[in-house]
Amino acid sequence: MKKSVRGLSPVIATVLLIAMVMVIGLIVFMWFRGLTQEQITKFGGQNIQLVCNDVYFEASYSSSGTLSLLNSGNIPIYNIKVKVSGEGSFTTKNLEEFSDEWANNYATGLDQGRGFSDEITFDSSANEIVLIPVLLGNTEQGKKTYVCDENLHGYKIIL
Amino acid sequence: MFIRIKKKGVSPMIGYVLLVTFVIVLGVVIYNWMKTYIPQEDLDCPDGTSLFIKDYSCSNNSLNITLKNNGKFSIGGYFIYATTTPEQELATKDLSFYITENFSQLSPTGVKLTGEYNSLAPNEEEVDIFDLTGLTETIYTIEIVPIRWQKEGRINRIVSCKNSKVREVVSCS
Repeated sequence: MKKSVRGLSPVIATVLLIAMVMVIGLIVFMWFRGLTQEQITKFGGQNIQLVCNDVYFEASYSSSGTLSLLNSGNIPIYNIKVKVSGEGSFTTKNLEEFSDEWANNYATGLDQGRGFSDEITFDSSANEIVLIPVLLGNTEQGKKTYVCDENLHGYKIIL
Repeated sequence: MFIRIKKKGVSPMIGYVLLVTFVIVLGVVIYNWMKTYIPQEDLDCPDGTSLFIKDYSCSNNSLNITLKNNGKFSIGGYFIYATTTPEQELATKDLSFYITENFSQLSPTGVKLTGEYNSLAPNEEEVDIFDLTGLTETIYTIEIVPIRWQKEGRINRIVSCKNSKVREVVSCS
């Protein structure tokens, strides 16, 4: 019996090789895209992580329970996340969950120069709050919020 | 039977073209990814920008403030806030809505001084009047943050001079 040793023709082998490389490349690309964070930019293409460094706001919590915020910097703050800590646990919520004033009158957030003040009652076990700015940036899919790093940009108030 | 194996592979020229193309594509991808991380110059007022409350008077729900530019640079306007309780540490009540000259009010907040852009030159003064008729709370202190118009590329942007904030205890009812 005569056995054929010719195998695939070089053209088909080349086409298969290129197709396999392209498929593997595509899979690796999709996997890598999933690993890297989606880029959020602001002010003409600056990465929002860098914009967080320029955020400047002041805050205080008075003995009568009034939380005051003032955006005296140049970056508009879209929202504020409030991390309430006490007795070995913490919860993080958006400011509108604590304040109707914020929910009703600060839909666009704390623009440059704007102040906010409202009476807010925290849980009796709470001993510290951290106010974390949230910015609104641009992505390829449209507008998207970005929560600045709590350790770098959070404003800590001891209750 | 001998099988002839073709050992030539891709020609060196095509190899170079492929290599150069890969490098260019990779470079473009990495550049697009990294360019957003290039820090831009932070917009801030120059050192030496200063505004102070020279005088004020309260009468018949009207607050008259005399401001003087005692700094080295011209100023274009200011943010003005008040505290409405004695224990309030941070003034947040926006008084710019109460300014009598409507054209001076900036959106969403702030007061623009008379004239074009940074019109209040060093040593100049301006008197602004606020009609506080609609304000139900008592004012205890006033805080003023000067603002300037500064160029960022082709755009003239409002810049808050946060380090030049001034505070004045007032007694208005």
